[in-house]
Amino acid sequence: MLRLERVSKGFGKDTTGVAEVSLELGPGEILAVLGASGSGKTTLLNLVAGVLRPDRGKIFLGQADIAQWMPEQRRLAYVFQDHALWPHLSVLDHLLLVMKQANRKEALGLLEQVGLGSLENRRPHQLSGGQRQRVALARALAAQPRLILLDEPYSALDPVLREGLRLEVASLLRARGVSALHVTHDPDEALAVASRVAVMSQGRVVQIDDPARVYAQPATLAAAQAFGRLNLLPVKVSGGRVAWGSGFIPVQGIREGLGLMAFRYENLQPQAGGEPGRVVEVYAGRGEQLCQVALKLGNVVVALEATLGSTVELAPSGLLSVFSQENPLDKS
Amino acid sequence: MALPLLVLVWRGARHLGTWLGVWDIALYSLGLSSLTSLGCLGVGTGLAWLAFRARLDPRWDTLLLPAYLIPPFVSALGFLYTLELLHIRPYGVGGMVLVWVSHYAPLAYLLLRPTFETRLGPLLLACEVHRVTGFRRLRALLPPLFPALLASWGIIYLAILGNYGVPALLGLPAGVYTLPTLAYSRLFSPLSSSPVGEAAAIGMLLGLLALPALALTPETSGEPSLRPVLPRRVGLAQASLSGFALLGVLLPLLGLLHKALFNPYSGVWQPAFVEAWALPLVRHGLLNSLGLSLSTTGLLLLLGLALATRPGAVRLLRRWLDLSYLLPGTLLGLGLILLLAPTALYATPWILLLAYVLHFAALMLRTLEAGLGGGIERLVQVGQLFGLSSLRAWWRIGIPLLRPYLAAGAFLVLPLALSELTLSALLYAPGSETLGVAVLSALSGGLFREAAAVGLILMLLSFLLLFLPRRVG
Amino acid sequence: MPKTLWIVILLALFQLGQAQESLTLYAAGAQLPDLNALVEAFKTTNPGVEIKLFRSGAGEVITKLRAELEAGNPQPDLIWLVGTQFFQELSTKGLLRRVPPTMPGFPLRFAYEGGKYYEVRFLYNILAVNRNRLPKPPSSWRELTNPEYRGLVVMADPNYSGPALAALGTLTERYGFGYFEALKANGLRVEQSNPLLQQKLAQGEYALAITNDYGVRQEIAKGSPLSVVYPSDGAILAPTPIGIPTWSKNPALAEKFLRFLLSDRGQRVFVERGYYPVLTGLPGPQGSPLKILSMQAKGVSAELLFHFNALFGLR
Repeated sequence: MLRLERVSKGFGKDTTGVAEVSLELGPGEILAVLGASGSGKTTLLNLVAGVLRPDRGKIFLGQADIAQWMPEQRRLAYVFQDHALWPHLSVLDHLLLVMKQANRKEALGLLEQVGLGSLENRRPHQLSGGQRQRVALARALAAQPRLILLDEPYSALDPVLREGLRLEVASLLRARGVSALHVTHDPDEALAVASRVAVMSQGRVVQIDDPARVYAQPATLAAAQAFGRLNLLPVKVSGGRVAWGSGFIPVQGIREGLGLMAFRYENLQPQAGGEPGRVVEVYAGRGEQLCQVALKLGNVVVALEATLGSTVELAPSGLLSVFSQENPLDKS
Repeated sequence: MALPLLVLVWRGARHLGTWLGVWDIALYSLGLSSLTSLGCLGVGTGLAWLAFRARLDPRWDTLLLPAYLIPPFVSALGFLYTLELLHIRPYGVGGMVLVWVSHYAPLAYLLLRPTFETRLGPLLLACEVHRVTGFRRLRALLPPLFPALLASWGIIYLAILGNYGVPALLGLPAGVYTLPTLAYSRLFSPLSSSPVGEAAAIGMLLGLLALPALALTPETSGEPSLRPVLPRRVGLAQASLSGFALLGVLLPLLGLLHKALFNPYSGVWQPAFVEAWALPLVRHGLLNSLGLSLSTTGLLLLLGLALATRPGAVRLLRRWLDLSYLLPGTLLGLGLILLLAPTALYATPWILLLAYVLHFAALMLRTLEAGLGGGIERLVQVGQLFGLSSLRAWWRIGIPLLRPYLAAGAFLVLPLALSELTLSALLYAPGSETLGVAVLSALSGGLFREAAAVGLILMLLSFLLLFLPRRVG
Repeated sequence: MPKTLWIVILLALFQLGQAQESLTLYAAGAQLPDLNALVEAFKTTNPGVEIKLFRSGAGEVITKLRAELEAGNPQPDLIWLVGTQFFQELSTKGLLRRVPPTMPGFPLRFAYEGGKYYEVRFLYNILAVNRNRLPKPPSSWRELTNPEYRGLVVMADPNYSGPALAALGTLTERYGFGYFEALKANGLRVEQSNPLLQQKLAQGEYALAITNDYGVRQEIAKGSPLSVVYPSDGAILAPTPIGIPTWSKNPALAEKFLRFLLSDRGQRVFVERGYYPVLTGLPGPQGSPLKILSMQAKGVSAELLFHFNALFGLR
């Protein structure tokens, strides 16, 4: 469906560059591009949309290299962070304007589908934030695009609304079999909507994989950081293991020397004989408790279901990785 | 576009000797314009501060609008007649300053009020919450306003420096010259060895005095964001604004009405409108001014539509045209005389139309620019992303969204063109008189009552525009 | 934009482009209502003619015309001024079209240079007085320098006004420039134009004026407390000639207008407006003396005007 081959774009006046980006998106697939601001994900989206032209590389849509096509030739649809609705047009007109053949009945059906049943004559300023986002989506679907680009589509919405809407939209997209490239900086969003996630950092795609796998087995420190909920502890690897509590943790295939040991919050659990620590602070989380614990190696946050005493011994229930400190991007 | 100005410089450069004889008037113009604009700024800032502190509704702003909409020379005429009723002779500097302040202080107010809301709202809130008072509050609030104050001062300074009507009406009878009236009197002086050359040299001097202020003109100001500041001294603010509106509108209106409606000797009811209408000058003036202002507005609307799809070109063109808008109209007028006197355009209404279009284009392009800057260009791009052709995207999205901005530009240009005097006083010809020229000619012909009647018509037309729907924002 | 606005704009453009058979007249020494009355009277016998009018002080009219001549694009079909100097200049350059002086009752000595330019009515500089402010007016030019008239007297700017220029030349010739220096010392004020100062005189801003007679008569007719004093040392007859330039685009119509001014009908309009007629056998304006002691106006050199400007701070 969409294939990028070693696409590069230099830094511009107000664009972050991207370097050597290759990725592929199958029909009906939703690919989330996750990255912090400045990671180049919006540039990537603009390259696909045709608002920017790549310096090097190819962008295939179906069989054709569209890298040099004008935006209007690409037959894509876009859902923007700020909705970018047309203030002078009614909800229905938004759809009719972008349809290849204006079909009122079809448009009304689509509005019904996205939950805007009786609002077809409203103007954007008469709608709530969530409704506007639905209009933006309906507009995108009405264009019958080969690919929908979603640029941080929910970041202007409040968190509770966001969670409900993104699942609804993802299932709607899947049901209609539309391919989508979904750019976000919100890890929860990437995990919730995508069939695959591409993590971007400093203009490069550092990992593309199944969402659960990218979360559990990040390829690089940057990929690990992209999802948050991360504890990093400076450790010394010697003899293929790291000293931990009264014993050792084996870390096979990792270079000797100083490194950063990475855990998700939920990967450290109380266990006798683990690394001793003092509970500094306890926070309430959604369905869990977050405790800040001072270990000898440094402070960590652990996610627990039960309350803790004032001291605790912690052991990893799962270890993401130990990243070499000299070059944290490379797995040693 | 810059050609008239270049010709002016080329011609004036050969008469730079003129400067030796007029340097005192140049200094006088400089001092008078800078001090008076400072005064206008002071009054306008004070009113804006009161209104801001009292959280007066924006509808109160419209109270000051009429004083700004009355053409300055009509206010001058009105003040003249009113003060004469009170046996005060407003000729000379005092009268000029009075009229300028009554006209341009509202402008300062209108320029500054939005800035107060955007800049000062959050700062004042912070001051109140943290109990910053007295001099320290001044230090916290004033510096962030400096750019806006300076820019407003620049705009008013340029307007007063280039103003012809007020010094012509109130200055000349008292022997008080400013550079625009001097340039005009040189142009028509039987003693000038080369009237046009000497006037051009004086025009250059005027341009030189204007140049520093050109650098101060602001780009665009932000949208007002209302902050919850508690209203203070509401009564004082309302009284000040009403008082100023009364001073700026009712006072001149009173004089004009009295002059136009009553026989000056017997005091009996005798409206001068019939006599005024009997003068071909007035009829031509009304027709021409209406025709010229509508045509200018129409042409500029077409220009705006044609350029809407090229924001880069709008910006570039506007920068050039800013010169012929911001520099005193005397320069453009003299430049066009020099450029076009030998052609068939001369002594026709067309030369005035050209002058108006050149002079007012910057205003239309500015509002267009504001619209394009407000994200309209992006919304058109979004249309193109969705597969609409460029033309269709502009037609269905860009132009409809720009319409209120174009309308705002039109309603900005229309009243100014209707009451234009500086350019038309230089460029009019028999048959192409404007209303402004009609007032001035009637005055120099001693037809005070007819002038008052025409002034009232101009005032009425300006006020009519106040009631036209404005749908900006 | 509503469609109606576009239609209005198009109509406006159309209006600007309209053309008609027209005559352009540059005039000084007569006021707009006077000229209007003449034009309206002319139109009753010549309907459909448009007369475009540039009216200003003689100084402005001449300077504008000079500038147009320099640019090679002079506009008027008919020139009407105060003072003969500029006409003599045009005549020397051969730029005036001669009209044979064949009008009945017209004194030939007022067809200058054999009909190259014409006197069409008489305009006198006189003393005007506001009776409310000055019950006992002076009777001669000479007396204006007396201390009892200190700060009361006004005259028009000779740079702008033709009659004022004539007064400057004539009175300097008669009494020397010292006369004006004495007037200045006695508080003489200079206003831009005669009609302007006549208004102010009528309103009592001044008590005495060196000004033209017809304008004062018009103000008297409107009920103002003014009266005309014909000075015992001679009212000043300012020549106000009219002529047709060779560049006129419509010389036939221009001549028609000139002949109309010198016809019985045209002359009566002048008389109604307070001027003395040039045709013999017609009565003078209402309430005016039959005979006036007058002197012919003298020209003004650039040097004299320069001195005057310096004395009164005119730029």
